Amino acid sequence: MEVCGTHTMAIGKAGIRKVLPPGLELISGPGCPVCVTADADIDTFIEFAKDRQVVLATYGDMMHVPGSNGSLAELKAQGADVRVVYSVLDALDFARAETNREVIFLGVGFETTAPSTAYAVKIARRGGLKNFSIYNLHKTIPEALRALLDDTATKIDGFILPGHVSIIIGEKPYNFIAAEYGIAGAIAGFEPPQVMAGILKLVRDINKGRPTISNLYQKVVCPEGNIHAQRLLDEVFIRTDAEWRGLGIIPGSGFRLKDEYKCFDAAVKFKIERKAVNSSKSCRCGEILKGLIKPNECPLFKKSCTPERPVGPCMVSSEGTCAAYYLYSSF
Amino acid sequence: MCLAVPAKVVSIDNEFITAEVDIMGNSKRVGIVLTPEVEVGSWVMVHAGQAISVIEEEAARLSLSAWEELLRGEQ
Amino acid sequence: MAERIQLAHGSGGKLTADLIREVFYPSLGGVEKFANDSAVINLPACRIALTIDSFVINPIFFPGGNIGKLAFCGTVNDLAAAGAIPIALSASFILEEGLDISKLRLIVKSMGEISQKTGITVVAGDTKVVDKGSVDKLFITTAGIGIIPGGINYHPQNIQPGDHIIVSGTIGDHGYCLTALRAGIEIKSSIKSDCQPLHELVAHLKPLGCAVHAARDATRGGVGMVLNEWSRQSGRGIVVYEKDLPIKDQVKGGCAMLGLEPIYLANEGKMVFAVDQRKSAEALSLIKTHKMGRNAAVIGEVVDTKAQVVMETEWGTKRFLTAPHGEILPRVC
Repeated sequence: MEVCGTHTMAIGKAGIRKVLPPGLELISGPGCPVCVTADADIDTFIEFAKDRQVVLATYGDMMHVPGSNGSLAELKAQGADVRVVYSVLDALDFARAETNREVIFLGVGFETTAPSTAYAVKIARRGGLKNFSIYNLHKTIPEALRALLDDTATKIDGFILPGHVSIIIGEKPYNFIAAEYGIAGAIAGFEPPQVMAGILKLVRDINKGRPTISNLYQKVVCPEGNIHAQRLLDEVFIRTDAEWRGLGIIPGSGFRLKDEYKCFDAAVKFKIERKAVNSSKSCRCGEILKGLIKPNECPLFKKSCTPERPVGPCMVSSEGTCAAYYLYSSF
Repeated sequence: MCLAVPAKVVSIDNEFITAEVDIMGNSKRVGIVLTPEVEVGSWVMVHAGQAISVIEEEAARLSLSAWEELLRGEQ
Repeated sequence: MAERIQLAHGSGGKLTADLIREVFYPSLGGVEKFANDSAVINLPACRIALTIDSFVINPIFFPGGNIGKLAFCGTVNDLAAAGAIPIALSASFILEEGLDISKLRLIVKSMGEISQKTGITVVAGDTKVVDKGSVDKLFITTAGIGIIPGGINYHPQNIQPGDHIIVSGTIGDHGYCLTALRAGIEIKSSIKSDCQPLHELVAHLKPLGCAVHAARDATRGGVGMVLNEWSRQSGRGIVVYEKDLPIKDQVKGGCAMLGLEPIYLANEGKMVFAVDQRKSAEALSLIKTHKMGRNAAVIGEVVDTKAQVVMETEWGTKRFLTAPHGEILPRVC
């Protein structure tokens, strides 16, 4: 399984699936932060955006994710002040410049972007910013991998581990995969030869019956990860349970703000109640995210669910499994 | 979503903890709070406006070597 | 002359006349006493190409050009893509109340400059003014006519298996230049828009006559869009060779960072051709003799499969190159 959405895209773009020998199959995992955002969370941040006093700042991919009643892009077309940012620091700039508006930043992403969000909150506190808050949807990969391995339905023989998340967390958090579950993992880069090197290493480990966690991206990923990033995370966030679309609630897989930073938590500040949502019955994003089915096995794929009219997040996000298959289908 | 690219540090602003970096001729300002040890001339991986990792210059070049090393190592 | 456009400038009265006389005529030519509701042009008996386009670009000034230059070149290029010799343009301006007239002057002046350089005249025009907020600064619509010489028939229906696909230069420059300017992205690059008129470059291929099967300028949606359109319209398959695509390093690097693909980014000065493979080498060298075609390259070929566009990657693997869809939002994390 390639865990990370960027790997799914890279594999698709390079046409790797088709050159693999029979008996070797790549399934795409839940490493697309947009795709694993629960419906209830989507609806919640859409509620935030409806408030005319609010500026909702978000990374681009979240704009088209469909909630129960539309997406941020649709809301923006109706006049909501939703702004795409490339960096969380831009959201801070908005807050400083527009003191009569409340700027809410959607903290989406895994351990790669969580430290920047933590840093932004730290700066906001240092600067005494009263009109900045975050809706924290950051999630962690290792816990999700454990959940996948605990699920008896999944049949994974090896993981291509995410390159960028690993830059932050290092190698250690993955050791349990080999030690406790006997499954191999390889941290790989994103260029086609690097992905192939990862696959080859996994195949060799599996054939030898000696699963290891290997780092094939050593020039970029330090074994201990990025200490500064880890410190920022520890300083500002604590772990909490998080709801992942398709995987349900995974203990300890999310972040929430520590008490001393609570005033920057949009959910607390605005007392928004997160309502549970019944997902569309026909949408099979959940099974796709676990690697149980492929996009073309979903009855909606390419028919009622396309990038122009997505039903579920797997098709919306440019890194979603379904979007990647749609864009880059090999033949 | 998670796209990181290699970039070379051109100048550093210690007050704002940012750096001007060069990405194949493009110039951009990025945060360096996660890589405070950078110097002018360092190579970094840039992701969503932040430098997240310091790398060697050769790592910035296309890495066929991972594949080659692996093949060699397992001979 | 007032500093800003007022609603009265659009009323058809004295202020309108002043605006035309002081801003439009000096750059685009025109003498009030000869003005009439229509321009009259004497044309020989021939095939006429007629095209129209609207330009709503934001920002209206960008490295390498402005909305006026874009409008002029865009329409000239649409005529060129039909193999036509551009004869005349008409231009309609919808102006926002409050628009800085000095900006309008600059825009019209640059249209005048290209007009002088190319010898293609803007023979008819119109101006309207609307309330502040009804348009974003200004929109320009240009229509153009041209004469298609005998022996020239550029149309995707002519595309045959075996044809070579040639692009006249580096791709994605205009789209990348504009994306880099977007607020929040703030990439400083030296890439300018490639906005330029291509009619002379296309005319270099005239000696090849019908061996040139189709031509199209690769604007919105880039080369990727053109190839998908051609594949659909001709019912043929097209293979693109990724390693042969001419792309500037800066564009490559910036696109990698933003999660964009240069093949889908707009160009405003690049033409794509489908040429009989027996004449492809000659076509390429003819294009390269023009200064706007120095970086031209053969990037693919038409194949005898069902209509689809396939990319052969630099690694030798294959994947579909689908039509781009939706608004291009840079990927971030």
